[in-house]
Amino acid sequence: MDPRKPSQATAAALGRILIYLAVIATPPVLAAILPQSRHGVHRFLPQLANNLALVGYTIVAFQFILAARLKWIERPFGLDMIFAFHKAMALLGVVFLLAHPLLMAWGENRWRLLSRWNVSWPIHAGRAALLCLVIAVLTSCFRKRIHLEYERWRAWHNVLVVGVLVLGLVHSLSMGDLRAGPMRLVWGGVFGAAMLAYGYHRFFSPYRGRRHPFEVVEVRRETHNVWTLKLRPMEARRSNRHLPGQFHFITLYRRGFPFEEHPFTISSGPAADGSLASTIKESGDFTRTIMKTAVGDRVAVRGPFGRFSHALHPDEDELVLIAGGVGITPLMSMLRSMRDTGDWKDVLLIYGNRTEEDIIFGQELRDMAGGPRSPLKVVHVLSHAEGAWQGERGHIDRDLILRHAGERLGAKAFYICGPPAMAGPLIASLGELGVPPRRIHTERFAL
Amino acid sequence: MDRVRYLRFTVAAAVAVALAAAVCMSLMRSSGQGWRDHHPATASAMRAT
Repeated sequence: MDPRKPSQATAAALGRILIYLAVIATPPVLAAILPQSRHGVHRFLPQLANNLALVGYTIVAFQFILAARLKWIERPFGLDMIFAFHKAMALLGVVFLLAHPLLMAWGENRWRLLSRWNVSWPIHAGRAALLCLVIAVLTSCFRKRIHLEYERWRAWHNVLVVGVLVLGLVHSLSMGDLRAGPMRLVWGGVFGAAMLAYGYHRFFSPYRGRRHPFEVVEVRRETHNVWTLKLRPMEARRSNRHLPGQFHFITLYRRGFPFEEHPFTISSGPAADGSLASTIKESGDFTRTIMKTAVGDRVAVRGPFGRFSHALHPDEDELVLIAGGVGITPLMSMLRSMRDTGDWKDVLLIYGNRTEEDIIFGQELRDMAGGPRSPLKVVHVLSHAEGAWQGERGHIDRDLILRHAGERLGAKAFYICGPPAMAGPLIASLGELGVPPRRIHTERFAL
Repeated sequence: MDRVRYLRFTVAAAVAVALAAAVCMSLMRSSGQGWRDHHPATASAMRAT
């Protein structure tokens, strides 16, 4: 599939959606047609309880594949959408799996199954699997509200979800339809596929990143709290071709700091030697140490990912790029790509910051827009401008967009990257102004 | 946004397909019309248990 061709990307997306739907629907169908050990429990409710458990477990197993960042799956959708889907399916899986014991108890009129302690060990395994699943989902939904650090949440999440899968397998193979017969093989396949994806994501991919590292070749200060790391592959043959606007995950191997993986936008354009740059704002525990990165430090790079790129929409000729603060980075990658390849579009960049000192890449943007026939126009907007500021003041809003990009809005493509408080209202305003949804591009990425 | 539409469509389709598969197969088996209930291999497996 060539992701630059919209028709191929659509076909690829629909194909993957159909595969997913077929996979989650298959277990109950196979359970109905394959010979099994269990003598006929033909009442509807216990059957439904079993089938919901089959589908729920398959959904949970497929979560491992969705979370493994496989490019074949990610490419037509973008990783932000895959993660959003992963969250939605986790809720569906929980509902189906919680319904399983309730319907089973109801259908067999044995409500004490739910409360009695003196039950067989496979039932205890099932209860423990459900408990792990509920904790994993609740901590994912309310991580920020309960002030759980991302790295700690991630470590626990990885343990809990494996617990769900293993305990669920033990429970299902010891009970009911899966005690014997060819369904056991199917079930082993479901479990094996999930474990393979987990192994790839947690072990093989990081190992490959360490085996083929990049090195930091420059640490540059952009503003008082923004830094750019320039990375170059340590092997000449290692190339990481990215589309402008994409992001990658990097793990910095620095003495005295934990080796944590974090996502950052690639701010550089395409480079012949495979080098990449990420521009990073000091905003969290990890990014506040970014200036302590040294030239020569090794870096594992995973990616690139994402579909926030004008290169994926070659039919768009007039672009309006809207950035807030460090949200300029993917848009800068697009601008640098246009400049370096000479393949310019008609571009208006509206760039919001608090003060003049917060403007990132100010000089480079002036140089790009400086020529008399430059196709780039830059509008800076400051929310806390000082007295001498000649440009726009306030926030980027509907009126400001109408003032600068007002003509034929429906024919223009909008790329928005900034804090959700900025992007959300802008997307709504653009919709009200008649911009078709397919021409409003944004990346919904928040860990 | 096309991608958001994909997401909503896929979530809705997944809910519908998952529920339909679970309910239809349960109805089929509870009415004794499951293929396995008439399949010779199933019958022998059932006898074995």
